[in-house]
Amino acid sequence: MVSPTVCKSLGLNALLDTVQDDRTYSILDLGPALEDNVQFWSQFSCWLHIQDFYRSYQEWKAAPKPEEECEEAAFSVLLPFSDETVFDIILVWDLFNYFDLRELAVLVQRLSRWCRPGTRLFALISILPTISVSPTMFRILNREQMIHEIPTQETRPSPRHQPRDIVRLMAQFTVSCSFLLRHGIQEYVFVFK
Amino acid sequence: MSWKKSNKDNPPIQTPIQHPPQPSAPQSQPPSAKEQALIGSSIKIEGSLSGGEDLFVEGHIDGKIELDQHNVTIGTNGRIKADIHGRSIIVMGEVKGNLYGSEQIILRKSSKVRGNLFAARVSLEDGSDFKGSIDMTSKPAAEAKPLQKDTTAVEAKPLQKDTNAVKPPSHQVPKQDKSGDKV
Repeated sequence: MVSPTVCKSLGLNALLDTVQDDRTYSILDLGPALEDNVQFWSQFSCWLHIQDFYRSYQEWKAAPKPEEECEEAAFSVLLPFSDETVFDIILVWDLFNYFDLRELAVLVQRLSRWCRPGTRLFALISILPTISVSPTMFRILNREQMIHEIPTQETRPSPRHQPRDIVRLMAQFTVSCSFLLRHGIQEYVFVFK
Repeated sequence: MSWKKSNKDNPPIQTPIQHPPQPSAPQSQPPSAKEQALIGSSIKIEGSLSGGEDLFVEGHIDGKIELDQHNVTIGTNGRIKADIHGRSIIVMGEVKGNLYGSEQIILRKSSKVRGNLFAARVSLEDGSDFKGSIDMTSKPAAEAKPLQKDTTAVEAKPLQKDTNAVKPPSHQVPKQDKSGDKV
């Protein structure tokens, strides 16, 4: 593992600015279960739903399947929430870097089913030419800082999704705020329309 | 099937404590000087399990574990397909089901859990393979009302603390009032 680094997160700070103490939130975390993050969210009244989506998707792709199945089938299995489900916050982290635009369109479409006007989606998109072969783990230290844990030194080309593609992809959302950080990550806070 | 270790002939003070095999992490063992029943790794139980002492499981249980007043520990070899009700629940093995801890739930790094966690305190070690929901709505687990599996619509009013929200079933989440406060 590459040495963890503490990084400022203006996006997280902006996301948390909207979180109030006097209500309960439903939070979908697509990242892995991390002790620090559970600890952090425990200060709020919330339901925290942890999905470890990337690993689940890799396992699904590696598993033998009777026929060629598409992403829709995978995502419906891996994100099995009912239509009545509503999330207030969706933590996508850097997953957008690990899917092509076609896969992302399916993923965003599925996530949108569980959004209501005002739902926040937090995503970090790399603008660097290469990224780690598997997603970074983001540990929330406090409302302004996260520890970035890159699991391996192996790298792969970054898809470098263009802002126009992201905006098109997130047509049901507006960009509440966006910050380009020094280490080459663009943080987005999207709001469902 | 109901399972309960008999302690009729063994006054608590004289009953030897059964020490389960040492888990990988020594701190995983609940610090308790009370009676503790052990279900060994070769034991398989199907049905409902209840009793009056702490429980350490290294075997397989398919059904339900109801030890509301006692500690339940699932050892590294434990394989559980059941909802677990206990005071303190520590998981080092595999659990598929909801966990209801009146005091706390601890998922050790070797654990693999698919289900929802309801407890006043939840501790989750890095490396634990957990997928599901954690109730952090400041409600004691005793108030959690497990719904029937495979229900589709789940009514809940999680807009304020201490509401009487109905808990979601496995891998489902509460429906929220769409007219509620925005984030």
